[in-house]
Amino acid sequence: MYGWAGSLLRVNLTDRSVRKEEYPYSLRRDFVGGRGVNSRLLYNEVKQGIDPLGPENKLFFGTSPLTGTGLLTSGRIHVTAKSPLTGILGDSNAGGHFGPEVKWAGYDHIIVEGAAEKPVYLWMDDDHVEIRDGGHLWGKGVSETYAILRDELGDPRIRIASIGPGGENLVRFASLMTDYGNACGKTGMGAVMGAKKLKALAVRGTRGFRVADPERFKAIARDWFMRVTKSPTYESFSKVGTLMYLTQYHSQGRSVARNAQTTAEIEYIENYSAKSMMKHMTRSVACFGCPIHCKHEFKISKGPYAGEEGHGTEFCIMSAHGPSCGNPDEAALLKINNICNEYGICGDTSGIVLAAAFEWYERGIITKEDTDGIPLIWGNADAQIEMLMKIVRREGFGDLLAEGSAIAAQKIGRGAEKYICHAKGGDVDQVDIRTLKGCALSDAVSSRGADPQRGWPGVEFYPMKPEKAQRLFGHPEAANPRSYEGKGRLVNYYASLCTMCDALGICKFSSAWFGTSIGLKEMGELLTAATGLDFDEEGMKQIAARINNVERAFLVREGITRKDDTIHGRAMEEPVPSGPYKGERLEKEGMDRMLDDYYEVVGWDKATGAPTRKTLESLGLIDVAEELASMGKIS
Amino acid sequence: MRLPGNGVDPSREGDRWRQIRFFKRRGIERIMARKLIGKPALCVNCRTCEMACSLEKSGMFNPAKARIWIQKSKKGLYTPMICRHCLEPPCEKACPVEEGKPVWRDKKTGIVHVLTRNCIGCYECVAACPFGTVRIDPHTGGVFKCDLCQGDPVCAKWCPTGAIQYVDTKALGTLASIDKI
Repeated sequence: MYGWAGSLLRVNLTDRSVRKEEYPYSLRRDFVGGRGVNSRLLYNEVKQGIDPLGPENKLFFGTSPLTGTGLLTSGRIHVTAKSPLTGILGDSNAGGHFGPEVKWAGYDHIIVEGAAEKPVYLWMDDDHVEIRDGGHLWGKGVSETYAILRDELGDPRIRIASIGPGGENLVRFASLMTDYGNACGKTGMGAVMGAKKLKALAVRGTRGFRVADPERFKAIARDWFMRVTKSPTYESFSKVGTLMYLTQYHSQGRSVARNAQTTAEIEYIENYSAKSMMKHMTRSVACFGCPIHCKHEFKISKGPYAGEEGHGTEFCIMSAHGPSCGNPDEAALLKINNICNEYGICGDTSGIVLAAAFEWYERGIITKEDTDGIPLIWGNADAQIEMLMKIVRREGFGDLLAEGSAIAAQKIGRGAEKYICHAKGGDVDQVDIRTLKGCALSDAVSSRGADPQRGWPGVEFYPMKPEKAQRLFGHPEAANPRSYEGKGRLVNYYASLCTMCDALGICKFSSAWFGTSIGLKEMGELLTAATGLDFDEEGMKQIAARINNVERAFLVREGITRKDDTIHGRAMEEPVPSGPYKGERLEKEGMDRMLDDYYEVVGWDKATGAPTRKTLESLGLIDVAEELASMGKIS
Repeated sequence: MRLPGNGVDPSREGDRWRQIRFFKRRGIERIMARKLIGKPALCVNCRTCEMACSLEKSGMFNPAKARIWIQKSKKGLYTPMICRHCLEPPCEKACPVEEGKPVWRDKKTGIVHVLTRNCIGCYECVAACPFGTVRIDPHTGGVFKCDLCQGDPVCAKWCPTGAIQYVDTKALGTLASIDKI
């Protein structure tokens, strides 16, 4: 077998059994790997209506045929389970070096079932797989766990995926960390792992794998390398990374501040500019195989946080805890970044939850008594850090916030729900969604709740000529961020691209989603060279559609219908208060029009939002169609 | 007086003889024309070199078969661990086999080789290498090391940041001082 390592590892924590299974040919041909196979396994194996934090939930770790090759950005691992945050499909992926090591150990996917009684960790040394006692690791931070396990197992080169106290305490947006600075943050995969009492996975792989046509693979990999390093964004991206977006979105009038109350005028925006951020950064660090090296290591040299060292800073966490919480101090943000990494909670979601709490406090929906005496006043970094620690430990008011913004707002009541913004329980990200209609549609129909990585149409951020939009996306207004027209095809194009990036286990920063010239066609060529099977552009589109439909079927089975495909809260109700997009808002009628358009493009029922039988059967998902029909979800 | 570069004051007759003896005693004709060097300041730990090497040498993607690897030092620096092809290789010295030594230095090219022929599998060479670049093949049990890919090392070709370079040995000291970041 070429490309794939060829086996699935099934670990049952309840009866402590470990089984190695053959990787079925039809599964890998139809879903390739990574998110694709994970989603299909989730649909097959996780029954409807189970408790995400119960032993019936399963955790799937997925690599792809390209993971662990020398190809650029081929170091990602995809983690899938039913999400405790949103109650629907949850998945997230992370870089680092863990994914490739799993692949070299000879496993394409790891399936973790059941739940242990006492804390355990999993040690995989090629064929030797062992469930070991992890009592001494429980309660330890992520980097501490890493250090202990390396000492205990006696090899500094082993790779580890672990959770911190956030995951142990079942914070609903706990992250699963690979190595110690890369997070599977979204949708709370860390909490699922914590509920299974699985503290860490340690792996050492020396088996390796082959590709079908090494010469051709090398040639294409070289070509990709040149395309990425010659792309216009490469220079700034390899130096500053995603941090450059803080000021860039601000100049476009799209940044959010004080929980999206203001969007365009942040008086302290200079604090977040590349210049002031980079003065703390000591150097760039890359994930496995990556020439982009967008993340950094930092050290704060003076001020109240002097001596703080860490890495993994990026845009979302900086923006969510920075402007969104009204926090002008970039050094405090780096401290918060470290807390999120070490205690294993999603930096992005935690910032959004805190921002909402700050606004509830400002509007008197909650008072000092509710917040255990902590004054949640905009820009109070100490209060922010204190509250963050309460979330990690699930103490007092932190216990409520640890449920995520949607559930917390519902529990608080008193109109708190007006001041959050989410789709299917997933928080809308750090760009003002009202100014980007296509992105709003992408968020509304995304299978894991609002999320930019599910295929925000990047062309909306930069001006594009109507003729070009017509040629590429079939409608002259498709790339216009203010227009509701022609968005169906646009969003589907980008969703397919992002789905295939996830399924191939490569970083979206190397794909056409990010302005390089690597699209589905190029991905197909490379996949052919790696696996020896035939994948062309049409085939890749089919696979992307198959993955999207199987995920949709999972959502439909959990009870999601058309009425859930929308943005809840602020973005639908208030117009943009200031800046170049002043007055812009998301109209209900416009959203409906976009949804109709999108459903038509992907072949879903316009009344229910479920995939039609014809669509499912054309993609070979006959068993899915049968099951949905037997439940009365489709005809 | 010590001079930069060769470290020998040519005005001192004795040193010249000592230098000739250095070559003579080791049976060395001349230094290697080009040398692989690693620059920790530029390395970002992407490990593309490991992958390129293992594909070239074993036809598979497997860092355990790569002749090069990245070490994270205590200071946190990432250092490409590359065979230096020493003039007086500790691995060769450590090898206890006397007839037909499996570890040997090619006098013409300066490349240090290990062979499976005559190897007794004691791994003394592995333990002796101060850079950890003589490695054990987990599949076969044999040892392997860098052979500079017949004078065209793939790791240097694939390194995206220039942390691994294949440079003219005579220009080595000067090169290192130019592009420090």
